[in-house]
Amino acid sequence: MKTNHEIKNYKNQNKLDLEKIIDEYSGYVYKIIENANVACLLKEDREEILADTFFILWKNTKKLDDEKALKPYIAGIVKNLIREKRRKSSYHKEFSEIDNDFPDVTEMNIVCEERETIYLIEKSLNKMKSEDVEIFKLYYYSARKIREISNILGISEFSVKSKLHRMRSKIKRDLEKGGYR
Amino acid sequence: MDKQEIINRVKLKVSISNFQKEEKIEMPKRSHVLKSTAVACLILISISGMVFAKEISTKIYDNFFCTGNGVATAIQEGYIAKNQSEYTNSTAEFSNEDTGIVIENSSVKVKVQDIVMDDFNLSAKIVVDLPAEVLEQIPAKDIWEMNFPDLIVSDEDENVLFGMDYMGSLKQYFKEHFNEEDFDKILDHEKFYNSGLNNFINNRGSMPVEVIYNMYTENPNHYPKSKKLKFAFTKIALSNSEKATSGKEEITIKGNWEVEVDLPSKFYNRETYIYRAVDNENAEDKLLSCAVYNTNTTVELALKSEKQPQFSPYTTISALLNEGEPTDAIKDYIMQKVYSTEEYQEYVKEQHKLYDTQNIYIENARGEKFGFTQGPIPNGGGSIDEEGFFRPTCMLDLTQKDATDEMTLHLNYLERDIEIKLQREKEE
Repeated sequence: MKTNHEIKNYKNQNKLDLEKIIDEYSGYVYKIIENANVACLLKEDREEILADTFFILWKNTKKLDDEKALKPYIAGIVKNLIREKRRKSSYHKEFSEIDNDFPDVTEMNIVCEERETIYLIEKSLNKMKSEDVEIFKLYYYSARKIREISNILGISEFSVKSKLHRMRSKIKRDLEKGGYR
Repeated sequence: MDKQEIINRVKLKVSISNFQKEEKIEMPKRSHVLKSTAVACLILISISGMVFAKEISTKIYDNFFCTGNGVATAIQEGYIAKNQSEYTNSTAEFSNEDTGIVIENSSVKVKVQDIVMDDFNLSAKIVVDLPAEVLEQIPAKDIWEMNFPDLIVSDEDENVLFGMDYMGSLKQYFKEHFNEEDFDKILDHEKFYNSGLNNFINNRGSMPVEVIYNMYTENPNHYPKSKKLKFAFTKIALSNSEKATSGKEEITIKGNWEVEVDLPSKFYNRETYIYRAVDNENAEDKLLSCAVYNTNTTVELALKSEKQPQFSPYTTISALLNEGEPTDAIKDYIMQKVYSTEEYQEYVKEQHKLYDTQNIYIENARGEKFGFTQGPIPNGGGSIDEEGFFRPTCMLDLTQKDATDEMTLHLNYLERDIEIKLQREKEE
């Protein structure tokens, strides 16, 4: 596994190449979580930390120093996420430090509040048809235009718009159920 | 969880984050805060409308609704309802979320002054007169945003022409009138027109405040030929922040306002001029429909296209894997890789050419030209059918006032200059 690479090696036109990073570092993140040996972490928690690590990394793209190695940033985020999970649980066993050489990443916002909302929206999207979620991702992740999505999926532009509209409405309703008013 | 699952999950999180950011939405606060998601819903749909509006002509013309030139022409010709009725008054409660100040038993007056309505557009000027005690808290010059989050616009036949408070007033309306509470059924209900909205303050800094509500519907859902409209709402949201957007206002005024407006007969007796193409049968480029309304013209075309460029990411993916149909997660991952290839970029470029019409305008018998207008139909967009015809729809700013019996539609498609002679169909 290639590790300790500089961040600039994982950027393409100033954007993080998430696929490459996940490909190379997901095993590393797993290992950190396992080594932390925190009994309170359920399987879902571990998976959540795993996905959130890369999401938070993406969210903090602008704060990353291109000349520095990526690995310590990832490790720092994972540590913070494990601490966060630990605080939320009733488990108080001291968390063993993973590697004190890692930089202090407390300045990297782990955006708890936003993640909470994202988690709710994620749950909402997971209940929708996979082809609809595909439209959502093409629109909001791949930044495809309505017309392009229409062409890619072979459905009408109106249908794409309509599906996006319904998804937005559904998300809103589910947020309400989740205590948002 | 394997790598593909992680990638998928991270992508979804990034999508959701972009969704929040690009739609300029900060998710609503928890319920102990005064804001409601009904307002958030308004932002969602308003922004949806605005995103939509980006796809169409962005020309803004000199009429107080700031809509297309066709509406301006219609207003000049007297196609407007000038409602002279008195204000509707309501006891109201003012509350400012930021300062915690609450003023009870205030009196806020509202009237709906000007309306333009046709098959696609419903524009109204909603006038709000705030009392002195409210203006002490927020002077007129500081009001940057004002809207009506739970507004329902309905007519004498219980049609709901506008409503965005899906979980509040809209649901309540359909429960009371049709015993219907299911959200999806309400959205699909024959009495519900799922209108988009662009709204703004027309006279910032003055009192009373004039709020312009431009509502619009899409083909094929033409607005009904209503004789009366009722504007009903219980909330006025406003903000003193220059950066305020709908749903982010710190001030709410709660009351109960219902304004009924009689529409002029020219609205509900409105007719449509239908045009056909001369020599359409054997033409390579065909006119499917052309309809001239009071405020605009719609055109549907079938243009002889070229063979679609060949590129199938899914086929490529299958070939890459060489082991049967890949899973959605794998397809998704590889498609992202494929999108960045030169081959794909070239394919997109070639494909876009097939979906691009230029310089569309109608020339009447007097030589006057009418191009794209701002309206609810995406201008020039369409799909390519199985027979290889590109089928765009367009909205032009030609109105019935300027329509002549014979006209010519001009456009350029795939470097072809196309002229289609139009002839008005006379009623039998």
